Amino acid sequence: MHVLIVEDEPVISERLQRQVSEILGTKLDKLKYFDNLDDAQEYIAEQSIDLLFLDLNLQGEDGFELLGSLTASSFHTIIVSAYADKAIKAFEYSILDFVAKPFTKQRLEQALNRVMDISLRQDYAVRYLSVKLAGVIKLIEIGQIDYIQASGHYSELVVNDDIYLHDKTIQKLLALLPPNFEQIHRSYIVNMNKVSSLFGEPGSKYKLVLKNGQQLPISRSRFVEIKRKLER
Amino acid sequence: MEFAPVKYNSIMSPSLIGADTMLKVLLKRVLLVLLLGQIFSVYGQGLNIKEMRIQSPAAGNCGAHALDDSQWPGISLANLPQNQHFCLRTSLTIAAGEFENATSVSLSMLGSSRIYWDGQLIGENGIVGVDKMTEDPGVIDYLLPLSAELLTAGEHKLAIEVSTFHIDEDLPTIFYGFRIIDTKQINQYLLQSARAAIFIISALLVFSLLFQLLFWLYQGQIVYQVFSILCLSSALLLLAEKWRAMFGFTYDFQLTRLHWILAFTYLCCLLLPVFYLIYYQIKNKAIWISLTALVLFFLLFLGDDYDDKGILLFFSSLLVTLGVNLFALKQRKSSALLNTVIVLSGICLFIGSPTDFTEDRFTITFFAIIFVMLVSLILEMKSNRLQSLASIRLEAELLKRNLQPHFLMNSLMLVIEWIEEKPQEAANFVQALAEELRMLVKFSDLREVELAEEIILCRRHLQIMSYRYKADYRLEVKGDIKGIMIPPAIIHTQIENAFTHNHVPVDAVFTLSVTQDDSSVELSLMSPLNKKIQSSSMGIGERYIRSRLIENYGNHFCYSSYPHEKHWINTINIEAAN
Repeated sequence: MHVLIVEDEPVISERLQRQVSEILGTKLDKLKYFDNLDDAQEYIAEQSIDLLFLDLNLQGEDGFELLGSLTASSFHTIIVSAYADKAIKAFEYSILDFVAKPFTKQRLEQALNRVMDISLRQDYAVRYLSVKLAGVIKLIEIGQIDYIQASGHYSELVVNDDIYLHDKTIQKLLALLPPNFEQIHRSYIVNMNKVSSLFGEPGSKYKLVLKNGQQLPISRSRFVEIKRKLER
Repeated sequence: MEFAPVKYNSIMSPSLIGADTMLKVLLKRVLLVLLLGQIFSVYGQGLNIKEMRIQSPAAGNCGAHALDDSQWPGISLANLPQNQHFCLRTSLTIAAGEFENATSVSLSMLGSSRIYWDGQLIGENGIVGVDKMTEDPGVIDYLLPLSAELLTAGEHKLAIEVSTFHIDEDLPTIFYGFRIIDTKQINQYLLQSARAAIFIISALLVFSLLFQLLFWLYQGQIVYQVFSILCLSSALLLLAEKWRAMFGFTYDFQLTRLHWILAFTYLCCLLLPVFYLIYYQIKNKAIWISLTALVLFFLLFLGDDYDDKGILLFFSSLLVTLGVNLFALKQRKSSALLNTVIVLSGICLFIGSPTDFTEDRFTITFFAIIFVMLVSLILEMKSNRLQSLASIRLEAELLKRNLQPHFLMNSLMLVIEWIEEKPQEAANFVQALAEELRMLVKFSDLREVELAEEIILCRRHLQIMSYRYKADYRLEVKGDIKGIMIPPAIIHTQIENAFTHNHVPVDAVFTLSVTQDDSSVELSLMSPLNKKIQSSSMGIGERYIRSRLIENYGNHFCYSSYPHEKHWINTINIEAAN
């Protein structure tokens, strides 16, 4: 895992570096830190990172604008901030976690577990996924998404008839999405609220039907569980 | 049996009368005050005697009906001799039905008198004497009821034997009036006059007390004290003026009373412009006050008529007061226009009747001034209240900034880190934090602190920041800081801002340059920044600095804050005499 830390206070930065190394152990491939965001963004543009620890001054709207552009990226973002009261709003921007200062090593561990274990899905109010659309950040309301389809290293968010490209893989997105999003196939995540029915064609093909009539493939291994969830 | 509905006229309990009736009653009262001059001067009709025949010194037998006075010289009563014993005689004709009601002789003069009606002694005021020893002074306003039998239609002989030995000074006149008048009318006049005088005197005394209390209990502003004494001296002046109508006295007291009147007039006439000089904070007011006092003092010795002296004093005082107000108007002082109008209308009132103005109408002008004074006082209290709310807010803001998550939580993070890793460092850091907070708490309820103390606070903050950023931040001070006072934590805020909004290099040295001369003090802080200016403004901290400066110096300061090359510059220039 390639982790980047942005924290302007050296003592806190050192603490983060030390504890992240301890927690991730051999899973940590590379750890880099900056004391300012400008240098960090330069680095992000050239390197592919997996996880960003960010101390962002969230006072004022500028902080959130910046946050939107970061969470549209391929990597996960964990905010480390003194402004705990801004956590709820920060979560709306599809960050993976919000660690309030002062933090303990246990809290850091919990945050890092979320990156590695998708089963630890968050059930807080992630309301938007931010996507880059012609260089501008657009916030997609999660409830509006019908399904998400993998597209190489990217994902396609399907909202009604529109398709938005997101820089994160569907695995990473799944970690951010609320529990009503289910992975039904290697390449598909569906919003269960938009599902109308399931059917299995004798032979081999299983299909999931959305309320708008569109059909999606569903893997045989997921069929029974999804069916059960749908019937509940 | 039927009862007619009871009609109330003026005396009613307030609960019974409607608002409009209340308003009418109130209006009537206000008119009463405004028209006091009128009430005072209405003396009723009757027979007004201005000239008589005189025998001076009196040869005796003054009242005898048969005495032949045809060879006596006539005299205008205004020219009666002083320190003399003389006899005055005249004939008067009473028409049938001229005096139907109870009637009196009213004699107002400085002298003891014996009054004869058709040769019959009808009254004696004091004891008439041939010299000061034998004379016992009578009252100044002598009122002698005439029985109806005396007032028959036809010609009557009126004689008065007078002695005037108790006048110690040469006065222009000792005579004020000699009338045969309706008793009820004159009593009513005296009653009304006394009632109005008591009403105004009480009001002036209440206002005097009010401003005394304001001075001692609210704010020790000298303007309140001056105004209180002005109210008091005008109350005393009116009391001295109206003492005669209200209480009466033997005529030998008149001179003393005139002296008192002159003294109170002087005081009122001096305090009126003095009050405005202080009220408007006019420069060099001490010189103006002394000059006015001196000029008015000279006027005291001009002429020998006490009324004329009073008129001259009031006129000069009004002119000086007008001058002060016009000057204030030119300097755009608050409420100068209103006060100028009041003084101008006072001058009009004066020109209308200088004697009446000097006697009692000056109170009308004074009440207008009192009204303006009260309004401006209430407005001032209001603005004080708002200002004190603002200072409470500033105080809270100062404390709150140190409870800001960015400062507090990051500091706590450091404490946790060092407790785990370097306990000694944690202890040192907590110590430094405590020292800064202690100073801030102390500063928070002060409006001004010594610059030297502010510098200590800044250095403590830099110490904390050095811990946090593993740096060695320093503050260098250039220039003489002795005796300079500034609002609390404003330089501290500038330093804090440098950290909040920008990156400060690790080896940064902040420089505070202090220059002071006779006219101003200038404090300029240079905060070094890293290559990038992250913010073009300095946010809430700036607002705090400006609010504090306005609170302490009003408009008498200059503040600028801007980036310059690799520094952020904050310059405060405070005008002297603040």
